[in-house]
Amino acid sequence: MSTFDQIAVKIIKEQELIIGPLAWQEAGKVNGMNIINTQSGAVVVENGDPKLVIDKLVAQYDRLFGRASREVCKEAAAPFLTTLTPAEVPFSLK
Amino acid sequence: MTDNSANIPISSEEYKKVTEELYKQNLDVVRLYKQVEELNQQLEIANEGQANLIHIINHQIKGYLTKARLVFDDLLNDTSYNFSEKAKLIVKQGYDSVTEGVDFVRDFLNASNIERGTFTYEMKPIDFKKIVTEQVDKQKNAVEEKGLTYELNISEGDYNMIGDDAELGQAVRNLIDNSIKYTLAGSIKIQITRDKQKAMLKIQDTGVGISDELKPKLFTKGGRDKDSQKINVNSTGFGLSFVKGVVDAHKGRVWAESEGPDKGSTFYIELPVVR
Repeated sequence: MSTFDQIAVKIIKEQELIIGPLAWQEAGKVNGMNIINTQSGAVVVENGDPKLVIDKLVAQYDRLFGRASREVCKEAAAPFLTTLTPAEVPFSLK
Repeated sequence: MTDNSANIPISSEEYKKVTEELYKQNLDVVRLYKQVEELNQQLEIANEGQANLIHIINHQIKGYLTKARLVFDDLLNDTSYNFSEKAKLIVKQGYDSVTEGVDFVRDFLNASNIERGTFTYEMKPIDFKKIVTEQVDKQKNAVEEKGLTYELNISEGDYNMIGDDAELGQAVRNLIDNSIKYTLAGSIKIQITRDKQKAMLKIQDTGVGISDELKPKLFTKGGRDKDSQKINVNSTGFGLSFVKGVVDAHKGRVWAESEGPDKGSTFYIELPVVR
């Protein structure tokens, strides 16, 4: 699982704690986000720039639930960002 | 007349506002839940640390008390000291007091080890009849000193089983000891019987009985009546917890019956026998 895959899974799982299975449904609507298995939490970020896919995921939740959801995404992704260079960090998580 | 309030459309802005507000409330709940979880984990660690510390301290205390008992034992049994009768009495009191201290700490450590799952049993073929008879004999003096009548009935048959004779002996001793301490007058009757699969030990006394309040916590660590120390100042609350741990480890059952305060008690141990 790539770092971006892990970031995506962590974000979705944190959102799941707050909004339940809807978190996976909304993530599935994001272009470039391939939900393999919601039970095991297997996700693949593919089709293009993974940074942009993550940005789209954050935006998906932001559109529905506002700024608070954006903060949740940032907190969820924080532990993984130390392994990325500044250029690799998605804009929505800065 | 129909209620149309449910059909009034709300703007998408209002809908978003409500959705965002609900999200924030859920987020607050999740954050609180995580805090509670973290505090629980810290509490668990703290409790474990405290339990370990108490265990170590008690182990040390047991060591010191055991050494002190050996000294008193030596003073009592070595005739070359030529103590006066008064001095012998004082030494005996010291010996008895230290013995009680050792017993207390031993009961506590045993109950604690059983609860932690760190108690090791030495399982082998044993004769339960022999264990009970020995413990009844050992307690004879204590019973007679209190002016109680004492009776042992053994039904015919073998009482062979697989078990740890030392720990089962201690469990039986704890029950008899309990009856002696909590029976101010009357009798203690001990009986063992068996059927095809089980041996049953019954210890019936005419003592202070068991209140309804105490029954659920009787065999728990520290479980004792609020007035128990008025009758038995050395009540630790660990002896019966130890008995339950030992009997459970031998795949048996232990329970007590009483019609209430001042109506006596009957304790039972049931254990599987070798057919």
